[in-house]
Amino acid sequence: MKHLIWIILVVAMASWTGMAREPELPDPDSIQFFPLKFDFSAPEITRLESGAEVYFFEQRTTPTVWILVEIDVGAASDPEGRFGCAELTAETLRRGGTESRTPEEVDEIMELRGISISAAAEADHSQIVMSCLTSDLDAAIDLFMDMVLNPRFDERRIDVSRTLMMNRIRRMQEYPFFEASMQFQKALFGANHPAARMPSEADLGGLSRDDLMAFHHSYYKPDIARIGIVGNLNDVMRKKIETAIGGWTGTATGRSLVPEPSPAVTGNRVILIDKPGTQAAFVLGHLGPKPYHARTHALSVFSEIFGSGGMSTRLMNVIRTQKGYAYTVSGGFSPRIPNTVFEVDCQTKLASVRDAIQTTLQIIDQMRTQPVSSGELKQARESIQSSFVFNFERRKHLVQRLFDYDRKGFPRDYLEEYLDAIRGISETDLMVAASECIDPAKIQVVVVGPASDLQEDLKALGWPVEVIPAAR
Amino acid sequence: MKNRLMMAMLLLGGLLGSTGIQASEIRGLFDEYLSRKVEEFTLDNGMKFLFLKRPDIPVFSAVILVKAGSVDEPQGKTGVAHVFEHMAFKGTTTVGTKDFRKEKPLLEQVEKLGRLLTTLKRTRNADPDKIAALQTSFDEARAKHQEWMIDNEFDVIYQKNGANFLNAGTGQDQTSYMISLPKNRFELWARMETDRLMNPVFRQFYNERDVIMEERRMGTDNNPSGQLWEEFAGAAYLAHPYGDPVIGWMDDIEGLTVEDARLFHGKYYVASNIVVAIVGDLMLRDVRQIAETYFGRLPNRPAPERAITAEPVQLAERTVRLERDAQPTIMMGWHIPNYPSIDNCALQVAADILGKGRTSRLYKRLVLQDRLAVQVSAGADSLNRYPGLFLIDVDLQSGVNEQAVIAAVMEEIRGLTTVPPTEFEISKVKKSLVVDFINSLDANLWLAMRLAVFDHLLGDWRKIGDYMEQIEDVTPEAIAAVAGKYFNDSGRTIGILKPPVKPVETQVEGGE
Repeated sequence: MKHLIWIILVVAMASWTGMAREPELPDPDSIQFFPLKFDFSAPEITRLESGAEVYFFEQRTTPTVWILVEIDVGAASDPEGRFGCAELTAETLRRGGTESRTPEEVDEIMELRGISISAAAEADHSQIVMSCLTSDLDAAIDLFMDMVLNPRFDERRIDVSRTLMMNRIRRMQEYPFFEASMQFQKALFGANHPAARMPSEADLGGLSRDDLMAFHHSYYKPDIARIGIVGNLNDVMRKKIETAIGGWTGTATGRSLVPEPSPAVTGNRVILIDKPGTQAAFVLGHLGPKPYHARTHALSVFSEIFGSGGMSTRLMNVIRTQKGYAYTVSGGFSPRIPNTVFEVDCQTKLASVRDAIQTTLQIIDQMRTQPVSSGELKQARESIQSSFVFNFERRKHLVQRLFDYDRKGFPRDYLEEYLDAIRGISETDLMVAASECIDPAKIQVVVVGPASDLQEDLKALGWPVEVIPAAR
Repeated sequence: MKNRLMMAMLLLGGLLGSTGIQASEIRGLFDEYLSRKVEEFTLDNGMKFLFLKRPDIPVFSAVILVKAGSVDEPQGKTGVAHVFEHMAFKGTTTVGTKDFRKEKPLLEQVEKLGRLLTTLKRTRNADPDKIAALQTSFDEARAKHQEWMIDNEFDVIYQKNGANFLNAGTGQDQTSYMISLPKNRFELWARMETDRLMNPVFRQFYNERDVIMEERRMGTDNNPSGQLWEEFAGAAYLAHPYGDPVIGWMDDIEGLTVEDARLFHGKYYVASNIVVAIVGDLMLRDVRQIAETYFGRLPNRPAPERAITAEPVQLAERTVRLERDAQPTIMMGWHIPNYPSIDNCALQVAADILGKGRTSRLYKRLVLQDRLAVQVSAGADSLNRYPGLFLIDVDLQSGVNEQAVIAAVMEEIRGLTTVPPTEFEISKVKKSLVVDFINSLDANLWLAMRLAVFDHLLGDWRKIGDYMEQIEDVTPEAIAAVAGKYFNDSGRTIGILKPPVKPVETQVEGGE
């Protein structure tokens, strides 16, 4: 097993002694810290004959096992005229029984054994996750692989899935922020792009059991799969899991390649979704570079200072703390497929929408044109460095993160090299990255709120304002 | 206990053995993972500490639980517990200031003008010119004060020291402050938390009051299910403050002043009214010594007395109907006793049989068989300071008649008395008790939270072992008995959320 030694040294400040006698509390910066040394075991990575890559992590805290099967196929591989196929397949995999077990039998085994299994599809991948107590591993692994290999897709259960999916979308649309966010994706990626589109009732109604069977048959194959295993396992248990997943064979028709974004408009505009309420949600920003590129590290420090680093980011300091406009405001570059997205999210009362947007644009402009202070940069680097250990606290989250890096083309040693790379970022690097990767002329704004209150006000931004009806 | 369990096993026809669940398995797990490992000590000032050593990775999580929540708020001051929680991030006499001696008089001026402005704005027929003039003076005072303070320094110190989940939460029964840090920052944590418990400074109070109004607009006023809950709870409780929203009524929030928050802090943020839980890679000796050095500075004062109106027996059914452009939802609730009433344990099992998982009675009936709903849940409030509700929540399919759903739910509830729980139902409930317990041990932070909450609500966290064992011991007879006793029509509250009925020709086609 490969061991990496992470040593985080903190500069010890002037020592402080005898605190118990002192009436005053010590200065926080004067408290001494011993160096934090931790021995991080990297996952054991093996490749099976079938082509699947297996990541194994030991975690001995509780007698449980967690298995994630991820396949490189998602909505981008929906057959022509069969939109929603990847999602409905994943949604029904758990619910629809297996060749040898009715859906009701599956439900009963799972609840009697306390086995939890769920599945979901995104634009470029699908995930099936299982967890159970180690004492139920035999039954669990048997059922789990049966589900992955031989799903029944029971007709009645497909219908239940359709209803649930539509209902879930409609319930999410009750949240103004969700509507703003979905419209923003459409504006950036194009209305029919798999990263932006959601299946409609007609899409789901047009999918048959044969479609799901065919999709599963073509794509649920180990050669495009990654498998993550985290648990408190002895050799016998590991052998059992290896045997079970070793029995999964076959070759996929291909893997999902998410198309390039094809937005209809790339210049400044405001899309106002007309919806009643006393508060509006807005999302603004534009497409960013590919997830891994020359400026990735600089942008991660940029995001920390700009809007993703807790209560004390520039956005929070001004929009929440000083102006009292919003409970939360966040922003930065989020890695999506096939591009990152530069994005700011906020919800505020109707009277402050315009000023909140204008203030955000000013903060963006400052980040692009003026270097951050050395204190700000130091603080951001310290924050990233000293919280780094938490990447390893929960191994299942770490596996998800490593898989995510893999899919998005990050180098394998990205985490190992991360802290060194962050240490090398300067004030100038940040400004250059911000001015290269943010183009004020491309910023689009999506606002969800009552047009009667907001439309005139938003025209003051000087950009075209397009009003569209709310989805609900 | 053993005899009752034997009886239950006989009634179940020995099924427990066949699924591999041993009698009092939950007690064994509780002893193995918590009871034998959690250390506790209490400082001279009455502040209690629970500590669980977990050396898996060099970090720790800590939860400071103050035994005061929204139920403790005075009349007309709803939301003040939550407002103070926000103030606790605004720094202290040594954090968040450039020079507190110079800052203090400026802050006092802001407080004074803020109080006057709050009163004037709420005075009927107040002269708008006077309001505008006062607003100008207030804004000027704020600007002057701003020059002597440092925005969010409390957060900055924690972030640069590696804080992973710095947050706080206000509930009906308590307020909690939580964080995860690298283990070498334990002393820093004790220093920061002692400071904000002892020396909070109420900076930017009026900005933060605006922030909280936005929080309310987001979570309740522009959220149909938030609105339904507020209407439903208001109807279910006539007298007890569980009927008031934790965040407060908008009118109360608008009227809150610094003085209100200060009074709340002074009364409830007392060492003997606080329990702290710490889980992580630390040594008991260090935890204890640092706790004494820092938190030992808090004065020794008695815990506050409280007088809260008990909810009277509900005599008449109450129904609220909310029309919103939203997916239809139904809530149904009945008043029930909280633990340690033994009935509460049977009600927990009844809730699981009715609404937990895809083999539950309500799911099978409403989602799979009748296709009336897309989701159901059932839950019995248990570990509360005061008696709570048995709650059923159903997300309906669009266009379904809600009366048909209510009738079907009632049939299943009555079924608990006529169709006793099957062996399968009892077994799966007991299995989920074990699995949920094991899963609750997974993350340091949430385990610390649970330990603190258990200790607060049970008076001793160890009683959670008894509680789980009593749930494990529940018999089919007990379930039938509580179903007959509590689920009556006159004690029922129903909340219905559905879209307004629109004439067909004016309906607007939705987007995708």
